[in-house]
Amino acid sequence: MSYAGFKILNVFNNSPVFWVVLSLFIVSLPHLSRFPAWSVVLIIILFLWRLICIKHKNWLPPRWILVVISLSTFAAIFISFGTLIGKTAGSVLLVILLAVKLHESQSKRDYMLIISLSFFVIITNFLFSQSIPVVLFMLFAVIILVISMLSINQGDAQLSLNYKFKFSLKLLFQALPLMLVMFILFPRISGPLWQLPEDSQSAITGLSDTMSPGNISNLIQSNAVAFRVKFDDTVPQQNKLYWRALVLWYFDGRTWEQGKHNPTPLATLQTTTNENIHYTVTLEAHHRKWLYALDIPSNVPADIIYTSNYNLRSQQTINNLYQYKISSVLEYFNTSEISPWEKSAGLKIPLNSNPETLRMGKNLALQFQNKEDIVNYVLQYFNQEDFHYTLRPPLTPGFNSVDQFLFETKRGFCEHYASSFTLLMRAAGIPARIVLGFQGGTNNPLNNIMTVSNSDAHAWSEVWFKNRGWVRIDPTAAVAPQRIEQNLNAALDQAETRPLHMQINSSFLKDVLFYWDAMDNQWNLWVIGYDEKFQQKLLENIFNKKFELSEIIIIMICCLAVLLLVLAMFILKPWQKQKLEPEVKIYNDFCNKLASRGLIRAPHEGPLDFANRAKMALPEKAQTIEQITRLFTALRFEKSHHKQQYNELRDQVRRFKIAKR
Amino acid sequence: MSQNNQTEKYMSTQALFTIEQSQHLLAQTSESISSIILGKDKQIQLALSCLLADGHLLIEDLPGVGKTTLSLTLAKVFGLDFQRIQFTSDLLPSDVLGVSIFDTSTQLFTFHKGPVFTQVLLADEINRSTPKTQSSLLEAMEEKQVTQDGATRALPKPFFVIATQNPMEQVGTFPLPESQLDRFLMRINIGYPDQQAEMELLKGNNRHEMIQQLDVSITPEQLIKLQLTASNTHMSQAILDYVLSLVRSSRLSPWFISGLSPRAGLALQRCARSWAFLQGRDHVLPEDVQQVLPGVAAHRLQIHPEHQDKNIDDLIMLLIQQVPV
Amino acid sequence: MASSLPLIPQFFEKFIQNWSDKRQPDINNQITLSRHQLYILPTRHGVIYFFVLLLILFGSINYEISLGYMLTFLLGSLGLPGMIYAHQNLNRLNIKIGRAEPVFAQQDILFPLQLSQCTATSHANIELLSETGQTVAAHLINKSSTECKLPVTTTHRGYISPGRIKIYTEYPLGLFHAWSWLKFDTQCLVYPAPSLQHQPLMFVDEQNTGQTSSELQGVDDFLGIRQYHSGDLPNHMAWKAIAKTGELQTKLFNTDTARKVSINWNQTRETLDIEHRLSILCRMILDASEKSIIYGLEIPGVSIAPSSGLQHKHRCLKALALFGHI
Repeated sequence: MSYAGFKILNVFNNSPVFWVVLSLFIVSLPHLSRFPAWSVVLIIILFLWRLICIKHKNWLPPRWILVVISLSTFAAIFISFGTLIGKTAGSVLLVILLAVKLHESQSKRDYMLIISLSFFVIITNFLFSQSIPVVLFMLFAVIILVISMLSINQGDAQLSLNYKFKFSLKLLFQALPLMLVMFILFPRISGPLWQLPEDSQSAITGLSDTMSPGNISNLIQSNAVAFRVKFDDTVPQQNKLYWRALVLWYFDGRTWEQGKHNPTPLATLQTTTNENIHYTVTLEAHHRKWLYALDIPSNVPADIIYTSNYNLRSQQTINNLYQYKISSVLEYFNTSEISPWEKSAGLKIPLNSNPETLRMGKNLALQFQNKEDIVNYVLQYFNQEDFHYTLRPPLTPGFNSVDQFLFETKRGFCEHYASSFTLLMRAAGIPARIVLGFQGGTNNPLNNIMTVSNSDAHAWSEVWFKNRGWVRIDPTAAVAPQRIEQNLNAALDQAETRPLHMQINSSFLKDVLFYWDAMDNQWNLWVIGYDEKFQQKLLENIFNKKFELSEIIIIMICCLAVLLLVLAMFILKPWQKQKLEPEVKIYNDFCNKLASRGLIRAPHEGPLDFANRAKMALPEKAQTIEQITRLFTALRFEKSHHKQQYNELRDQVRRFKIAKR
Repeated sequence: MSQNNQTEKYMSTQALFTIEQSQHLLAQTSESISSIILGKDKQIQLALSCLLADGHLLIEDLPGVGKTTLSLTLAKVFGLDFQRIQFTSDLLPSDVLGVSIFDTSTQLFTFHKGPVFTQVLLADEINRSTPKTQSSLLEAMEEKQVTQDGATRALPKPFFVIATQNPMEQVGTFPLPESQLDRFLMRINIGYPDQQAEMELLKGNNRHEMIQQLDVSITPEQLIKLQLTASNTHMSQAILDYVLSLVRSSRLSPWFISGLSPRAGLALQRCARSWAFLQGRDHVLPEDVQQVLPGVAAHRLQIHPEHQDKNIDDLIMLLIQQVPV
Repeated sequence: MASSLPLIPQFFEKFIQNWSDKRQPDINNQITLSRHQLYILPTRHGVIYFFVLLLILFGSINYEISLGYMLTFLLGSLGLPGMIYAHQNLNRLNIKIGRAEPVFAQQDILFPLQLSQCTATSHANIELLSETGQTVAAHLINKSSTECKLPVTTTHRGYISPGRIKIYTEYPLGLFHAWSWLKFDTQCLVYPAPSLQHQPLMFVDEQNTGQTSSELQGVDDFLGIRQYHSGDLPNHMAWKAIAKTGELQTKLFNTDTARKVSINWNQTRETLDIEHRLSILCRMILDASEKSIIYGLEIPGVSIAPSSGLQHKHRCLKALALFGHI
């Protein structure tokens, strides 16, 4: 923290309003980038104004202004979002209303209420992201919240910033074990209790279910993790890693869509090798239903739908981390005939668009007998003509985008190549379809987990060959083989501006990123993905026993009780009596021994006076009493004393015995 | 300031007596005084510790119990100059401090030192004079110097004032205000001697003659050294805590209008040190504090009107009993 | 304040109060709080806090937000050390009550309280609540003892005890209200409230005791000039001053004998009730002592010889305060 900031903190340290405003600001900070600009401005103004009003109490706005602000906020949110209860809309509303509430808050009660309500703001942040930085932010916000609560409840006591900070850290650390116990043992219930309406506006990042020019190259800009894969045995070669997600059949000249449901039953596939690839996919929430798998998945879990396009679908929208274990076959062929539906859909050509391409396709069909030759010819064509692989192709608007690309611009990204290739094939009479998904992935050497991120998004084609079935043809590989062999970064031209995440060249930074990725993976597994199944598994691993829900609750309560007891002991330190110096303790033993003979030292009685009294009462012990008293006074009141005296006193008192009367 | 402290420290290490030496000297002195003042050992010890703590003494008692004799004896055994002022209602400050007189021969004002310029000053019946005169003396006591006509004159060293006062009930007096009483380190009552002592007193010689025959057992230089040694008596943290809790509980106590001031706390500390030193110890014990507390605190505490019927010394004993050692 | 407890705990508080009254004897003038005397309940804020956490927990369950669980549990866990610290804030605190200065009825008695601790913990914002509803806060931060004065409103004269003092704290987090009741065995004298009207003082003629003459000034030493009061002798009029200012002025003289005043029960009208008569007498004593007049007090059962000074004033006022009480 800068020096000036620290000074401001010190100036306002004892003002509860300041801390309440600060905590409200901090909890809504991650939101601000998501909020519409007008609301951010309004929120900041409201916060600043409340801070100014600390010094000028009568500048607080009257109630009617606050009512007007609140009502216009409702209206503005409804206009911008079309709803008041969507994820973003609700968050904006909550933050603004709390900021307005600040302006009519003057008492401890109001401040405490705002603090409690601000927890809602923190939790709305989690609807958007639950990554490690977000949890760090949460810890920071909780510290500020605790400091605010201290400031609200400190009354007129003067507590230093340092003290409050340390105290809140202390509280946090003391709360952590309790939190962990609850987090691990609290029973998890799966399935939603109610549904929150999604914002119509909020853009879902990640792969979409249609493909038009530009939408994959947009996605490439993001480095967000799409899913992670842990291979059981060997990792297949990079150029074999085609993660299929969606098959697009329908083309309108510009955009590819899935089209109608493919009713074809699954055919039995013949495999050329026995090699099955086993792997576990941990999918990030993408708010869609499709799942990713390599080529032809097998051993599909029961709760996953296997589509006729050999794709996987989940039954629910993936709104949370989702993990599935699956196997895949990479070498296969299909000897059965193409189904009528697939044949008609795979040859469908949009009317009145891309005439040039269609003409070329027809020519090719005439030119070659063998369908494989047509494919090879087109790939050769892509390779030898002046085609370029680029993230920023010239725009190809309208419904003749394939024509424009093939014959004019000749610059494009995977979607351009896949789209034009598939259309050419259909024109040449070969059933063809687009496959959307990811290609490649980055293997993290630290944990051997492959991370597939948005920048690996890819589109390619599949064409039907008799006796072979659907065969994958990647036209991008013909133009930019490095994209498939290595990664996108290698395939792009040197001169091309890359997305920020691809500009990292330093190997150190790359290592750091690997570490980060590995950590993120652990985080995902242990925290974000912690659910009923995981909980059961963990308890089974620890105790070697399956637990009922009620047992888990009992274990949790017992753990909490024990921890609370330990904490109470730690804080209250009941063993800590009034701190006594060792010599005083020994002397008190001596006094207790004398007390058994009725010689009770009055609290105010000095040692000499008491010794004199004791000597009178016990003349036979006079010498010992005198010695003990002298040693004690020497130890307690003299300037210099040594260990030896202490030992002597201890021994003397230990030996000192009087017969009880 | 720091340099001053350093030299003082240097002085003190150089000019200290050992406990044995000072014990020897003081034993002689106490003996001499006891031979004059009979049966008042405690009071003599208190007066001595007050002197050793370099503070002034207030004796409050009826006339004729030996206040003057005590102060004369003290002056004599320490070989100090002695002056006595009988305070009356018409005594002026200049009668105490001195006066500047125009000398016609030199055409200059010359300062004629008053009786205050001495080492032991007996201010008899101090409550008989007007507050103005009282305060002039008390200021001199506090500052250890006299400022008259713009010139400041230091008083001799050591400087020890023994003031006597008749109990307040007597009419025609100006009782010393509380703030002035604070200037006296200790107040003691001498009280009547017991039967045996009084019998010896009657049998014995004229006290004044006996004082004249006393030997000087300690020189003023030795006295200063003794004072330094006494102030070096060790006071452990435990005792400091005890002194503090005594002072603090006096402030909360229901018997007094206001508790002991921080200055009273300092006085208690000094007296406890010199008392412990007189007992031949180089460290202070709780008993030492308890012994000097009545002398130090009695004149600084005002009994609350609600408890007017109680005796201040009894109340101080109660205070001691309330504070655990 | 007691009202910071929500409704049901407020009921509990009454219940605990009755219970603790039975088992906790009056304490002399000091007490060291231990867990046996300390009670703790969530405050209204605490109830809201945990309710909000419950809502967040439901939200987290619904949307399967792991971090939501974490936040809920973290904030919930914070409450528990918060509770222990609230308890610790009062635990092993030594409270000593001091002597309060006498006051006049309807004024606030200020009971001095000394809070001290034997361990080296910081205690902040410990509040003390008197039965009459006043509070005072004390803080023990980096020191072992502190003093504060607790006001107690008085309504009538006599000995007033501080009653049941509630010591409580909501520090550090304001989620829990820890408290104890202190019943000290101490009392403070309350004088009658002085009447607002001034009644002329009656000077005693030394020669004819019992007979009072109208206000009579001394004749020996000229003291000064004051405003004319009805009844001043005409030969004491300060004619020169009257001529200068145009206002009636009287010369004041000082004599020892003539300035004795007797304040007598019979000087107040018999038709008034006892309290009213006492408050008139109280006013007269205050007036007399303010003017440094020597005065005595005569009320049924008590007779105080004329004198002056602080202690005399106290004796007279005490007699009025305890009139009829013994």
